[in-house]
Amino acid sequence: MVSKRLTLALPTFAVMCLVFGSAVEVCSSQVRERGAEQILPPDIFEELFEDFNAELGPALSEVPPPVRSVDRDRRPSRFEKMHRTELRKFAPIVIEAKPSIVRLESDGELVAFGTVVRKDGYLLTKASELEGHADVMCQLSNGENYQPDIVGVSSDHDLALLRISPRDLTPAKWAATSPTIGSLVVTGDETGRPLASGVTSVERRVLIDTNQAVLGVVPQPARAGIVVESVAEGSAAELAGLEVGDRIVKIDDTKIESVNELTNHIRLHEPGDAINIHIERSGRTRVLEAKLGGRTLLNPFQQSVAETSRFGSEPSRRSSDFPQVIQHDTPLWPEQCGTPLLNLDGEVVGINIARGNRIESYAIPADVVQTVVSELLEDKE
Amino acid sequence: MNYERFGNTVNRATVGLLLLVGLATTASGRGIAPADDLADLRAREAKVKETLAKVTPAVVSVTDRVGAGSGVIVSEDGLVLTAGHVLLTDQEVLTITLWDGRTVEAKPLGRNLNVDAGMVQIVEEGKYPFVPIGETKTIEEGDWCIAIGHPGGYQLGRTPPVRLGRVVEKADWMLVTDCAITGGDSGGPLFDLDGELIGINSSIGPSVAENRHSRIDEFTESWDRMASGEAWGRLGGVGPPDRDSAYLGVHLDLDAEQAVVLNVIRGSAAEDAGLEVGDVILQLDDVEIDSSQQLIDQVAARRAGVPFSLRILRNGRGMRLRGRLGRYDDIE
Repeated sequence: MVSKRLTLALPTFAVMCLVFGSAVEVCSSQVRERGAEQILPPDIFEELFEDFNAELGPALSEVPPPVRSVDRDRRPSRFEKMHRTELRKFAPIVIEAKPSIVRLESDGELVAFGTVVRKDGYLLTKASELEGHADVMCQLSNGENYQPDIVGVSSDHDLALLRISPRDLTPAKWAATSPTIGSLVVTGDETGRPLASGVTSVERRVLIDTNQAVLGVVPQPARAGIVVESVAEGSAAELAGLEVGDRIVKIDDTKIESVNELTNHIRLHEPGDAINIHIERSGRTRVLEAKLGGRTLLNPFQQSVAETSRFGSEPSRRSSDFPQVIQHDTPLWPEQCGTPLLNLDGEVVGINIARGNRIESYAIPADVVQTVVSELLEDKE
Repeated sequence: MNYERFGNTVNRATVGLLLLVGLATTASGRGIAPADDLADLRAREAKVKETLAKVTPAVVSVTDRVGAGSGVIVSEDGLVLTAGHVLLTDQEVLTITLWDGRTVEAKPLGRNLNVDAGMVQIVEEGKYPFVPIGETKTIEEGDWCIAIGHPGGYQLGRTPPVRLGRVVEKADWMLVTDCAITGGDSGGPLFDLDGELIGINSSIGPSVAENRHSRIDEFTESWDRMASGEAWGRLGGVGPPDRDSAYLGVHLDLDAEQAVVLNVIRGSAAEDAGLEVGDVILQLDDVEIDSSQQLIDQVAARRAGVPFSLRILRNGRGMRLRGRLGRYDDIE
C-alpha cells in the first residue's frame, strides 16, 4: 500500500519541484547532469534574452492556450478549505451582499459577474471577459433579467461600466480601508452562495508586469520601407486599422527603412504610448494612430515558473498590469471575476479583477473602483 | 492524489447529520448558527494576523543566481532551512534576501534529498529574526496552516505572499495542504496557526489543492548530518544518489523476483566485498532482502563508510560477505 502510493507520487514529484530555474526541469534520472548543464554563463543568458527580445510578437503572445484545470472536475475532500462545510460558514456574509451581485450570461453560459455600484442601474464587471460575447444578459439576485448597455470602459483597470434599466438597485457596501495581510476574504454569487474563500496575501500595490511595448505585426523587408505580413488579433496594430500588405514608411517623424528600424523604434516606447504610423495602401498614403500594447518579457527560467504556476488554475485572459491590486489566494475561475470581494464584516474591499495563477487572484481596491466609476460617468457626460 | 479513504470513513450517521444541516439551512434561509460560524472565522483571522506578525520576518529568499527558492531562519545566528532541491546546483555562494530587502551572503550546508530537506548558513554575522521549530506529531488532517515564500523569486515592492489552507493529508514524509504554492516557494515555511514551523515547501501536483511540504520532523532527524555538510539521498526516490550517499555498487533488475546482481561496479564496495555477477542477495546486515527495491532502500538508509555484511546465494550455495559501504562520488 505504502510503496504503491509512493510510486504514484514519483513522476509528478520529480517534475514539479518548486525552485525556479534550475530544478524546475529536474526530471527522473538526470538530476545531477541537468543541474550542471543549466548553469549558463552570463553571456549565453544575455543572448537567449536578446533573441527573445528581437521577436515582435502579438500583444498577448505569452498567454498560452487555456487548458482545462483538473480542479474543474474534482470535488474537494472534507479536509479542504473549498469543502462545502467550510464554505458554508461564509454564507451569512454572502447572503447579506447578494443584492449587489449580478450574473452576466451569454447563450446561457456564465461570462462573468458584476457588482452594483449605483442605485440607478450602474454595475461594474471585468471588461475583457465580455469580449467576444454578444447579447450578454444580466441576472439579479431576485431572478430578474435585463439587457445591459456598456456605458464606458477603463482599459487601465479592465473594468466595464454597464447600466440596466432598474433604478432601485442595492449598491455595494464599500469598506473604508483596504484589507491587511491575513484578512479573510470571501467571494460569492448572486444567489448568496459562497464560491470560494481566501486570505489577503499581499497588501495593495501597483502590478505592472509588462515592460516592452508591442505593436503586433510581423514585418517583412520590402524594396522601400517594410510591408506588413500579418497582424496579430487584438493587437495595437489591428485596433489602429493596420492591414496585411500595408507598407510602413514612417513612424511619427522617423523614416522606417528596415525591420530593425521598426523594432528599435517601437522598443523606445512604453506600453500605452500613442504613435502615428504612416503607411501606403493601394498607392495612397494614410496616417494611422496606434496605442501600443505591452507584453511581459520573461527570461527562460521565469518562463518555466510561469508554466508551472498554471497547474490547477485557469488564468484570466488579462491578469497583469493593473494600477492597483489587492493580492489574495482565493481559487477563482476567470468567469468568477467581476464579483465583489467581501471581508468578514460583509463590506466590499474590492472587485475581483483577475485570476493570476494557482497561487494568486487580484482585486481592485474599493476606493480605486469608486474613482473609476466617477471618471467613467464624467466621461459619459 | 488519493482521496478514497476519506470517502469511506464517512459513516451513515455523519451523512444523516449533513442532510439535516442542509435542510435546516434551507428552512431558515440564513444558515444555522451563523453567529457561531462568524465568530469562528473572526477568531481564525485574528490568530492568522497575530502569527504572521511573529513569523514573517524570518522568511527569506534564497538564490544561487540561476534560480530562486525560499527559506526560513531558525536560529538567531542565521541558520536557514530550505528545500534540498534548492541547493542542487551546488553553488558555493548563495544570496539571501531578508524580510527588509537587505541581501546577505550564505553558504549551503547539507541536504537530504530523500525528504527534500536542505540547510544553509548565513555567513554575515548578526542577530536574525527566527522562528521556533515545531513538530507534526500532533498535526491532524483538516488543521489550518499558513504557507509563505517568494514565488518567482524576490520581488521588490511585494512582501512574501501569504497562503492559508488546511492539511489535506499526512503522507509518508510530507504534509499535503491546499495552501497553493508554486515555483520559487520551494524551501519556504509552512506554519500551524500558532506559528510553529511544521513543514518546508517542496513540490506540487496538478491540482491547486495538492501542495507538498517536507515535514519538519524529517529536518530534525537529519539535523546533525545536514549541519556537517553531508549531502545524500535521491530526489523523489529517483535519479542518481547525492554525492555522500552510501553506495554498494551493483546493478540490479528491478523486475526480477529477487535481488540478483547483474553487474558489479569497478572499485565499488560490492567489488571489494567480493560480490559477483549472478549472486542473489538474501540479507543485508540483519534485514532479509526480498526484492531489488528493498535492497536499494536499505542501502539508501545507511551512511557511507559503515560496515555491512551480506548473506548471498551463489551457484546454489549460501555465502557471507563483509565490507564497508562506499560513497557515491568516490565511484568513477
